[in-house]
Amino acid sequence: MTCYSVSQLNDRARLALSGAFDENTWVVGEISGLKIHAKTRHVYFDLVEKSPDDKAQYVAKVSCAFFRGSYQNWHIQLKREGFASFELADGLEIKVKARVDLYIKEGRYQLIVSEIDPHYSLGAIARKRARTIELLSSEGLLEKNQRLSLSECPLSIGLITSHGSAAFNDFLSILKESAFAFRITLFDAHMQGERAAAEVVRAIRTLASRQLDAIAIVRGGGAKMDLVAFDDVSVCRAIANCACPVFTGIGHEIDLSVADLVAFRHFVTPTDVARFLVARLEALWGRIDKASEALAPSCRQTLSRSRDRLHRNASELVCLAQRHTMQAIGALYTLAHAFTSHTLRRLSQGHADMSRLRQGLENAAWHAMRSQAERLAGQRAGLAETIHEALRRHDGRLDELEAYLALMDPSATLKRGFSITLDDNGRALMDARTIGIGERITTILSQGRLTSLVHDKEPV
Amino acid sequence: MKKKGYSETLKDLEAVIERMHKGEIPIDQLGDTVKQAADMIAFLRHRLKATEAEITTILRGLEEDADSRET
Repeated sequence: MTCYSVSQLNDRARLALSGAFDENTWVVGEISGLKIHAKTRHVYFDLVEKSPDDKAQYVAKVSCAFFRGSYQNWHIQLKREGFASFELADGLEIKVKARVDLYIKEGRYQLIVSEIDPHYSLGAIARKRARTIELLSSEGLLEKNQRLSLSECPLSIGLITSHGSAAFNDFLSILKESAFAFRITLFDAHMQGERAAAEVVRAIRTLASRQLDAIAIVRGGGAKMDLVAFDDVSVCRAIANCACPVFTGIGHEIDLSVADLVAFRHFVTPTDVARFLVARLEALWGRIDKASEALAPSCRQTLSRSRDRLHRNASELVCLAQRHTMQAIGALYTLAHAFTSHTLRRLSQGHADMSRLRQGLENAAWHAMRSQAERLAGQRAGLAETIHEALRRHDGRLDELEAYLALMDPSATLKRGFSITLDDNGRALMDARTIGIGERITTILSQGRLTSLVHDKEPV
Repeated sequence: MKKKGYSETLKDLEAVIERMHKGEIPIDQLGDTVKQAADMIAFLRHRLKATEAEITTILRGLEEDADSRET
C-alpha cells in the first residue's frame, strides 16, 4: 500500500482534479466577498449558489482567484466589445471560464478564472428585473406608491443613503441653499453590495413609521451591476407599500431599476430629487403669493364695508348705552338715597345702643371695683389685726418670762435681810449636819460676803 | 460669730428659765444667769418694737395706696 506525504497527496489530488475537468470549464454562480489585493491587484471572491427557497442562504460555494494578468486582459476585451462600464460586484450573477485547480499549500481547491461572460450577467440582471416586475405586477404593487398624494408642503423628509457620501452632501446642500426649513431624518445604509437590499428595506420600514412627508433614496452614480439591490423584490415591495411617497435618485441615466419604476417619482441624481422638493415648495409659495394678491382688493372692500357697518353699529350702541346709563344712574340715585336714609337711621339707633351699653358697662365696672376695694380693705385690716395680735402674744410671753425671772432673782431676797451660806466647795448649805466643826464657810449678803469658821452647830 | 435672731434667742431664754425652774442652776450662779436672761428679754423687746414699727409703716403705706386709687 502506497504512503504519501501531504504534498505528494495534494499534488496527486491536483492532477486527479485537473484530469477530471476540461482546461476551460464554465461555471455559473453569484459573487460574494469580492476583494482586490492591495499590492498584487489579484481579484478574489467566492462563487456561491443560492438556495432557491431562501436567498439569504447558499447551498454551495467555491473560492475563485482572478489573477491580475488575466483580469487586465479580460478588461481590455470588455472595452473592445462595448462593455466598458461592466464591473464585478457582490451579488452579481456571473459565468466564469476557469481552470479547476488545487492550492497545494492549503489543500484547498479553487477556480483560476481567465474570463467572465458579461452577456450572462447582464442577462441575469435583466431576468431578475423581469422576474421582480412580474411579481410586483401580480401583487398589484407597481403603481401603488404613485397613487399616494404628495404634500403641497413636503418639509419633513426621510433620507436613505450612505452618511457622508457625495450623494448625501449633494442632496443636503441643495436643501440648505433653499429658503425653506426642511427637517431631514437620515437612515445611514449601504447602497451597494450584499447588505444593501436588507439595509434599504429596514430603512424604508423604519422611516415609514415616522410622520414624514416623503422619503428619498439616493446614491451616487455607478456601474449597472452596483444597482442589483434596487432590482431586488424585497426593496421594491417596501417602496411600493411605504405609507408616504418615495423618491429615488440612484444615479443611472440609461436603465431604470425596478425601484425607480415603483417609486412615487424617480430622478437620475440626488441633486435632482432635492431640486424637485425645493421646486414643489417654491410653487406653493408662488401660489400663496398670487392668492394673497388676488385676495387683497376683495379683502379691502369687505373690510371697508365691515368698517362702515361697525361705525353705524358703534353709534347706535353709544346712544343706547347713554340712555341705559342715564336710567341706571337714576335708579342708582334712588337706591343710594334709600340706602343712606336707612343707614343713618340704623347708625342713630346704633349710637343710642352703644351709649346705653357703655353706661351699663361703666356702672358694672365701678361696682366691681368698689366691691374689690372693700374686700381688699377688709383683708388689709384683718392682716394688721393678725400681726398686732401676734406681737401682743409675744409681748405677753416676754412679760411672763420677765415676771418669773424677777421671782427667781436672789438679790431681792438678800435685800430683805436674808443671806446664803456656801460650803468650801461653793455649794449652798441647806443642812447643818453636812458641815463639820472648824470647817470654813462663806456667807453671801445683800451687800458683800463674809468668810467664817464653824465654831458650833445645832442640828434640828 | 453670727448674731442670733429673735426665735433663737427666745428658745435660749426659755431653756434658761426651764433650768431655773428645775433648780439646775447653782445658787451662786443664779445672779449672773438672771442678768443674762434679763439682757435676752431686753433684746427680744427691742426686736419686737422694731418689727411693730416696721409693720405699722408698711400697713400705712398700703392704706395710702388704696386711698389714692379710690380717689
